[in-house]
Amino acid sequence: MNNSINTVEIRDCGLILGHSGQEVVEFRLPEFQLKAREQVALTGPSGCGKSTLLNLVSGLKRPDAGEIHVAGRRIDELSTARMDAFRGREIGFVFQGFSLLGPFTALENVAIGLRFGSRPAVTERSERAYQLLEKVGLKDRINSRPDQLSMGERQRVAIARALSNRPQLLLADEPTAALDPDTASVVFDLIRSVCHEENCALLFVTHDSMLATKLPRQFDCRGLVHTRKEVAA
Amino acid sequence: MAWRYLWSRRLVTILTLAGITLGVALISSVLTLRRQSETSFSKESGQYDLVVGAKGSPLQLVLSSIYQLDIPTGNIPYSRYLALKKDRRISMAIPVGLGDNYHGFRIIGTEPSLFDLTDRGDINKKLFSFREGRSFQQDLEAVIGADVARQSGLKIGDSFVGTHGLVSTAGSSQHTDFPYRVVGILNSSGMSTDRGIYVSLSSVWRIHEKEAEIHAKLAGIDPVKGLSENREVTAVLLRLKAVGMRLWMTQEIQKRTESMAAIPVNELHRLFVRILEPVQNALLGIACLVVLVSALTIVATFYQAAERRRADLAIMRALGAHRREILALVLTEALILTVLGIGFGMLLGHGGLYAANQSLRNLWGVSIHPYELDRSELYSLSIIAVGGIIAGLLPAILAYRREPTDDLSKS
Repeated sequence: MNNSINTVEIRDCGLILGHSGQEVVEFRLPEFQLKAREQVALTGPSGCGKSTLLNLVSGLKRPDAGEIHVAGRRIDELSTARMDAFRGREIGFVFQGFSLLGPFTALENVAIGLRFGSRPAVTERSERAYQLLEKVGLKDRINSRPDQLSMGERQRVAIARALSNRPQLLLADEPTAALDPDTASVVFDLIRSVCHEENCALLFVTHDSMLATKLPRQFDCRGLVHTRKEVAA
Repeated sequence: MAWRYLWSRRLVTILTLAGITLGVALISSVLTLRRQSETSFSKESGQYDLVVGAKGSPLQLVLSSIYQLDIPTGNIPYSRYLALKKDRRISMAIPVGLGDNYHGFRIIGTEPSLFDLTDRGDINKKLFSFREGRSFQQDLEAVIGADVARQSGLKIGDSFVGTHGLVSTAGSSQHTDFPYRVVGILNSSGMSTDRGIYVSLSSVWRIHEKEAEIHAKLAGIDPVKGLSENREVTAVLLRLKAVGMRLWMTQEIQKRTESMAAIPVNELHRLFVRILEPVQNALLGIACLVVLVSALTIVATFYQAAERRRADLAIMRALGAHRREILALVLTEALILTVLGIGFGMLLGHGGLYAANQSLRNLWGVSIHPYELDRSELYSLSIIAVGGIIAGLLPAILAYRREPTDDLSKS
């Protein structure tokens, strides 16, 4: 495998999601690649395994079988602590529900991403956080708390935070689902452009086929979750 | 971060903090009060081997004659004092004659030899030392304690008149014909002597004999005869040549005379064991309950807080926070509350004692050093600190063990 080309490479990945009577619900993905700086939409109906794929790629879940390589490292073999540190440095997250920490200002929310990620000095964190907020058009709202921001603004802060550690990969889990169409379009374009500027690959989960088709590649997640009879040991 | 999270739910934080603060304040103040009142009472009671007075309650006799608390059991003949003074087993006999007060401070008729007593805790030191002036040498001269000087504003050369009775009450008759003159002011000793006004025994007799004379004349009887023969004292404070004779002499005085002897250290011990200790233990029990409830509140508060921000903690994990950083965050919140609670509690407890010091001196005759810490208090506070950490540990461990993926889907 040439890790310098692929930001994500998955082989023969399997994960047992649960049991239903005599049956086993299982996630299976024989092969998946995401090239460096590539932007891919993950599509498919609810429960088809989109979020599971994101959790596996981010190391928040470990596969029961197979290999997962991210940014040149085989992450399914990393210890929890090493995985946490790796995730902080190399992977950015944007969630559906904005996911900002309530007691902190926009600037602090972005700086917290750096605190847990690449962990630079405090002054450097603030400078980087300010630059990113400026990039997403929020330099006038740096001292606002999440409850003082509109939904679109909150998501922009979340994007700035996700990119704060200059990650090689951004995972966006339906980041536009809770937004009105106009704002969703603005946020979508913003994610794409900042990923491009920061040389960051993108996995973008969405139910919106219009948005999905705007990305260069779509990966249909249908068929990733299987149900099979449990085999007695 | 921990502080910001605490502040974001400030009402619950303040209420929890108040609970810990109150519990710690109670524990600190009760322990300090117990230790220092024992030390102060014991220091003073140990100065005398026996107190001889009219029959009644031995504790009452000790409290009234040494600590200037409670009312005396009655009087005994002056001749009894003279007999005790001559007893070869007694090294020092000090008479005490009570009857009047000045603004609530008792006027104590005694002998100047009182000021020659050495401190039994340090035999090179005198029990009384003069800040200004000298001992009384003649009738109607007065030596005042440090608290009397401070509170009344009396200075050397000032005059004052006594009021009949041991407590200051409206309408009490004043001995205006017999003004005292201040000739000495004592240094503060931290004992009940700070609240005493010391005069010659003959001054007390003179004032009251004159009054008796006036009353007798008004009643149409002849009072002069027998007055001097019937002179009395309220009590006699004794130091024995051998401390081992205390019990033996007590029994002898009980059997052979109309008076009673009490051993101050024994009476004080009884007071502590039977009355003060149970009250203090009850207060300590209440304080422990308050702390326990506060600890449970910490568990409940932090568990609830950790549950309410499961999504926040999951986001932090997604951002790269280690499990131990999540553990440290929740635990630090509990630590902040515990440390602040202990700090504020100690300030409140000791500050309260500082504010109440004068009232305690007036009420109990004990002087408290409110800022002194001792081992029992440090032990108790350490236990509270450990309790706070344990209380914070439970929700912290739950947050530590939780998998973030479930909570992220709700974020």
